[in-house]
Amino acid sequence: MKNKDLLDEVAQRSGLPSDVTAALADRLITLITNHLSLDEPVSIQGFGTFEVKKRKERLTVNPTTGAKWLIPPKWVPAFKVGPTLKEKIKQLNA
Amino acid sequence: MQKKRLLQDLVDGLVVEGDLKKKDAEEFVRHFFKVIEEGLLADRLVKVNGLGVFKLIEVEARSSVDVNTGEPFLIKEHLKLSFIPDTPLKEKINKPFESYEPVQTTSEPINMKETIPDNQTDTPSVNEEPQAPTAPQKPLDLGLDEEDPFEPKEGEERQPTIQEMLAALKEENERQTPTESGKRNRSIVVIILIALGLLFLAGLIYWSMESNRKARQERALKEAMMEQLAVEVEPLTGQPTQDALDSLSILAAQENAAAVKQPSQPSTAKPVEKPVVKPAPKPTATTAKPAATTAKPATTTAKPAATTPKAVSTTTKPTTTASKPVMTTPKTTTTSTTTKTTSRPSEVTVKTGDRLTLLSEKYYGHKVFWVYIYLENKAKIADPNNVTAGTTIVLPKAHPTMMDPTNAEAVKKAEGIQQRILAQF
Repeated sequence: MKNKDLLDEVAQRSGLPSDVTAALADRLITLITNHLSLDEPVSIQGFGTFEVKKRKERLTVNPTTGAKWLIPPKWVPAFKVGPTLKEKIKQLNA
Repeated sequence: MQKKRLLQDLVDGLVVEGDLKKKDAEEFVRHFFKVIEEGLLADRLVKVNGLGVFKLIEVEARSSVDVNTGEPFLIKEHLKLSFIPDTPLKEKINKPFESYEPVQTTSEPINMKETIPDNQTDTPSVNEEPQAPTAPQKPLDLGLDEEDPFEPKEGEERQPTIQEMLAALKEENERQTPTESGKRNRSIVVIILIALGLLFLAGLIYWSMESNRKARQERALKEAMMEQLAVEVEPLTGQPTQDALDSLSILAAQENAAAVKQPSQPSTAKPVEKPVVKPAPKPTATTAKPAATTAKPATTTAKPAATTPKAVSTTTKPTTTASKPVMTTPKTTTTSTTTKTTSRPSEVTVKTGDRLTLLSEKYYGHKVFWVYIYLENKAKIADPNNVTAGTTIVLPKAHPTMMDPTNAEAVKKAEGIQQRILAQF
């Protein structure tokens, strides 16, 4: 499902015009991003939790040249599936 | 970790920003995630611009062990939700750490080590090998002088020997310079290369001379002032000159080795041309004296390196090139390959990052000859594309025609074998 399909579907269900839906979706994502950048996890009931994780710095070796590189630490967004959705995925599998 | 934000916070944010009712906003957010969920279950992939991609990926069945009972059991294949964040989101989150970039930690990457010395240090390194055991031992008088001046007492007598050495070096060098003007162009390029590499040696000689002279001055001064303390002074003054002589002795040893190898040349290769040609006025030799004098040991030592292996391995190559001064030769492919083969050990332990092709290129001059290495070590190598590090492999003897990188037919044949081998993997 692409972004457009998603917005169309949401517009249809909520009864809002599609341009309004697109703007709302945009704002919603900005909100989530802002919360995350403040290191605040965003939890949606029945869906899951968006959170920020810290990747530690690490050493890598280029296999051909043997050059060692230090990869700096970074923060990455992550998503954790909620139990309800997890159960549904499990049933889909069966 | 800060306060957890819930759906209600998102709704509030939407209402504050927008001009819609709270109820509509809440409905919108609920629908939004509901549609994502349904799309995920239906298509197994939902793409949300600005947020990322939600994907269901299959996890293969695997066996595990019950932690409590220790009984093995099978984890069934299942689906796993994976979330790949969009770049804008990723960048926004990582803003505090944005400025960090990967840094290379070691100052000496391995490949640099291997590539740089190839044309320059290769030749000096070869002279370490005992090249001409059969040659008559005809050491220069300088070489013999080395034995006794080692005593720290005879600082005075050593000075002439150094000068003698330098003079002899210069003489030798002038005799060595190639006369053929046709070879000039190539030789000049090589001279420049060698001169660069051996400027360091020039500095060494200069330094040793300097310190020797200083020591001498000091010694003379002290002797004049207090002759009765000479016994104490002598070991002191001898100390720096000893150091200087150590470094010089290295040079002298090289010179000695060169002298030993020189007679070997006519004996191994046919004496078509005499290596000693009439002295030629060479611009570099006269203008840059230290450089020219030091360039000498390298040229003489590199020469036997090119000649002796040729007599052993590639018999097809003309020996006339061998007896020419090496100044001209390193450009030709024959010498470059032969110097490569000289340094080939009979066995090699595979390191991390080694490939059969790389080894082949290094030791046989062409990467396609890895097939012969592989065939020789078939028992040890499970997969030629992925040789385990630490495996010791035998390097087969280079066949003069079959493994000649300049021979197109040999290369073609090896390529044929390569195709057959690769078809099995």
